[in-house]
Amino acid sequence: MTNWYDKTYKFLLIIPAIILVVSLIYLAGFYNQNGDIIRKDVSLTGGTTISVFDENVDIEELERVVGNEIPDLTVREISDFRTGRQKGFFVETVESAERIKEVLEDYLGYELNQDNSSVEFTGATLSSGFYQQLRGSIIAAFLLMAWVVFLIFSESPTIKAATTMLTFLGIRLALPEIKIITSLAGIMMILGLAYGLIRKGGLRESRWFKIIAAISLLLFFFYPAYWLLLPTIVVLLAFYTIYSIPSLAVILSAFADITMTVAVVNMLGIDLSIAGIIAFLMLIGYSVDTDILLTSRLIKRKEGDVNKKMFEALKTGTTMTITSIVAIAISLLVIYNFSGILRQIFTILLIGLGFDLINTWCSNAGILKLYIEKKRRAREWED
Amino acid sequence: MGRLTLRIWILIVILGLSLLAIRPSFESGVIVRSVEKNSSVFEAGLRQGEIIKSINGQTISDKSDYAEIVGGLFASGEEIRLDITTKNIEYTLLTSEPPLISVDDVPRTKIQTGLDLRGGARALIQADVELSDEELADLVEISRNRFDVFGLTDVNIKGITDLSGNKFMLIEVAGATPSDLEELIAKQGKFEAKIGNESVFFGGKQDISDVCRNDATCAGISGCITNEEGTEICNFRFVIYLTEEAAKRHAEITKGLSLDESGRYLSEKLRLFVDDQEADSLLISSDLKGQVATQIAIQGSGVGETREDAFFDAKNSMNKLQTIMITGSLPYKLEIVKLDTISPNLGSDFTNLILLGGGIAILLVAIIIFVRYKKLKASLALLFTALSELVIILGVAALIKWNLDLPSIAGILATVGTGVDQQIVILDEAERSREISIKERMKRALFVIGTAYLTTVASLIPLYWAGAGLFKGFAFTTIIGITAGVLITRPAFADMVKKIEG
Repeated sequence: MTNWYDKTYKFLLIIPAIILVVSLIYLAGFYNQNGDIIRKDVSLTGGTTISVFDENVDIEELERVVGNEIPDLTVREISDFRTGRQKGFFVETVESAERIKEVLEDYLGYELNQDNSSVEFTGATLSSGFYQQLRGSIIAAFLLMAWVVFLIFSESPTIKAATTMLTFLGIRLALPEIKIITSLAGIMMILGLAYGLIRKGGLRESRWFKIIAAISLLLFFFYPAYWLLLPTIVVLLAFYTIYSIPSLAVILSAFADITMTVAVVNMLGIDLSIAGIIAFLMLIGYSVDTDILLTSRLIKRKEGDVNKKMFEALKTGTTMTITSIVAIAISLLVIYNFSGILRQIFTILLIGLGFDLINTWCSNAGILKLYIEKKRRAREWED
Repeated sequence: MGRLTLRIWILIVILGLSLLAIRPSFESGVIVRSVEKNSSVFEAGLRQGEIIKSINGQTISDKSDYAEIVGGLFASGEEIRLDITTKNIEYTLLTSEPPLISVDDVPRTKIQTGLDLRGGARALIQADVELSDEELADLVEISRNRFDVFGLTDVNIKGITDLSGNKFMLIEVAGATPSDLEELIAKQGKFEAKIGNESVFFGGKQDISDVCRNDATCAGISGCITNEEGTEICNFRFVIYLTEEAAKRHAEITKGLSLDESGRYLSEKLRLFVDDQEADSLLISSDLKGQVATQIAIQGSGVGETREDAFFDAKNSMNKLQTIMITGSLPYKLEIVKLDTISPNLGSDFTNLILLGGGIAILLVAIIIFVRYKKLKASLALLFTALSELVIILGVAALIKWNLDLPSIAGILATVGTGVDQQIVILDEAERSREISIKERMKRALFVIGTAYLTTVASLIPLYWAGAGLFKGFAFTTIIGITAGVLITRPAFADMVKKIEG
C-alpha cells in the first residue's frame, strides 16, 4: 500500500494540475467574453427579486407571459421539501421594483402586499460597491490565511517578519477605506518591523527583510495605490516559494479549490449572489483545515514513516471532508427549492469540498512528498 | 469514568448559562407584532410587543384562539365593547371592526430572528452628497423624529460606514411595513412657504421656533363636512410660531400687497410647498398686512369616502406637515439604494426546514463517525459537543439580542460543520500510535485546531464592514462559534476522549 503511493504520487499530482490549468484557461476565456470572472445576479448588479406566495399559479405560463414584457426575467418555484408542494415562486430582474410589481400584479390579478409577497430591491451603484468590497474581503481573507500558514510552517523569523509587513500592506491596498482596518494593518506593520529587527536572521534573510521593510513602509504610508496589490501578492508568493514549500502547498491547494469551484459554478450557469461570494469565503476556511492537518502531521512530527503518516492523515482528513459533504448535501436537499440564498451557499461548498479532496490528497500531499523526498536526498548527499 | 475534569465542568456551566440566556418560555397568549397606526386599538393605547392574554374574558393561548375569538365577536358587524387584557394592563374600546393588529404566538425563546425570517422592512438610504460623520448622525436623528411623529416604535435607525467609506442610513422596521415607508424616508422633507414667488419661511429651527402638536388648544381637527358630491372633508388646523426674523420677512412682503375683492383677505395667498410641490394655500387675513406676526395658523384638509377616512387623512396630512416644519429640510437629496420588504409568511416554514435539515445532517454525521470509529461513547460525545456548540452560539446571540438572519444561520451551519471536523481531528489523535502520551497527542490536535481557528477568524474580519454590514451576521455567528469551540467545547471534548480512551 505504502509502496503504491511511492510509485503513483507523481502521477496523482498531474490530475489536479491538469484540472487547475483547464480551469484557469476556461476562466480566462470567460473573462474575455463577460468582462468578469463570474456571472452576477441582481444582488450584485442591482435589480429586484420578488417572491410571491401563491400555491396555484402556473409557473411556466407565468414565465412565458411575463417574460415577454420583461426579457431578463428569471422565474423559480418555491416549494416545501417535506410535501414537495409548490408554495409560490420568485422572480428576478434588473428592472425596478415598481415596474416588475406592476407587471406581476397585472398577470396575477391581485395586489402584491406584505402578506403575500416579499420584495427585495438593490440599487445598481450600491450593488457594484458590494461586489468590490466583497472581492476586497476575499483577497484580504486569502492573504491573512496565507500569512498564518506561513508563520506556522516556515522557519526563518526575519522572513516571517518581512511577509507580515507585505501581507498587511496588501490588506491595506485591498481594503483601502476602512479606518479600523488601516490602523490595525499599520500596527501589524510596526510589530512586524520590530520583530524583524529584534530577531537575528541569516545574512541573506536580513538583507531581504531590510529591503522589504523599507519599501512596504514607504508604500503603506505614502503611496497606497490599488495597482500595487498584484505586485505585492507576487512578491509574497516568491517568498512562500523560496522559504516554505509546505506553506506554498497549502496556499496553492486553497487557491485551486476556489479557482476550480468558480469554473464549475460558471459552467453550471449559476449567477452568483452576495451569499455565493460569502460561500467562497467559507470555502477558504474549510479547505485549509485538512491541509493544515496534513502538513502539521508530516512536517512538524519527526517520528514515523512519511507514507504511514500520510495515510493516517488521509484517513482523518477524508472523514472530516466526507462528514462535511454529507451534512451539506443533506442541507442542500432540504432547502433546495425554498431558499435561493442557502441553496447557493451549499452548492458552492459542496463543489468546493469535492475539489478539496483532490487538492488536499493529490496535490498538497504530493508536493509535500516531493519536498520531503528532496530534503531526504539532500541529507543523504551530505552524509 | 471517574470525576469530570475542569474543562468538562466549564463546558457544562457555559451550557447551562446559554440555556438560561435562551430561556425557553411556555407563556401562553399572543404577542402583538404590529398595530395599524391611528386605528381604534392604537388610539386606545395598545402597542407593538404587548402580550394579549384574553379578550372579553375569553382566554387566548395561541394565534388560532385569537382568530377564532375575534372572528366570533365581530361576526354580526355591530359595534361592541372590546376588553383586551394584556400581560400588564387592560384596554377597553367600542368598535364595530376587528382590531387592526397582527399577532403571533408568544416566542418560545429569547432568540431573536432577523427580518428575513420574521418579516419586516429594511431600507438603506444614501445622500447625494458625501456626508460627514456629524451630518450622518443628524440625518439619523431627524429620521428618528419623523418615525416617532408617525407613531412607529419598533424601528431601528442607524448610520453605517462600509468598506469603501460610503455612508448609509439603515432603517429596519420589524413586522408589518407601513405602506408609506418609502415616502417617509426618502423625501427630502423640504418645506417652504411662499407669497407670490417670494419665500417667506422654511421648515426647521431657523425660521420656525415652535410647532404646536398634541395640544388640543392649538392643534387638531377643526371640523368635518360633506360636500355636494358626497365626499367627506375634514379640516385641520395648527399653530406655528415664527422666529422674529421670519416674521419680519412676512411683514415686509405683505406690506406691498393689495386687498382682494371682498376686502377681508390679501390678494396673494400664503402657499405651502412640500418638496417643491404645492401642498396647500392659505388666505391671509387683511389685518396681518405689514404686521410682524410670529404666530401663524396653518390649515389644511383631508378627504375620504367616509368620515373616518377623511378624518384619518386629515390627521395624517397634519402630522406630515408638522414633522416637516419641525425637522426642517435636509440640505441634500436622499436615495433609497436598497429596499427590502420581507413577508413574515414563510418564516416558520423556514425555521422548521432549517431544523429538519440540521437535525438530519447531525444525525448522519454521528452515524458516519460511529461506523468509522466503531466507538459508541466517543460518537455520542462528539454529537453532544456539536450540539453544545449550537446551544452556546444561540445563547450568546440571545444574550446580546443579536437578530438571527440568514447570514447568521449560514454562519452557524459553517461553524457546526467545522466543529465536527475538528472533533474528528481530536478523536483521531486519540486513536493514533500509543507511543506518545495521550496528553501530547491532545496537545497536537489542539495545535492544528488553533491554527485553523486563527486563519478563519482572520478571514472573516473584513466581512464585518463589507456591503454596508448586511452580512456581518455570518462573521458574527462564525466567530462566536469557533471561539467557543477553541476555548470551551473542543478542550472539553479532548478531555472526554481522554476519559473514554483511558
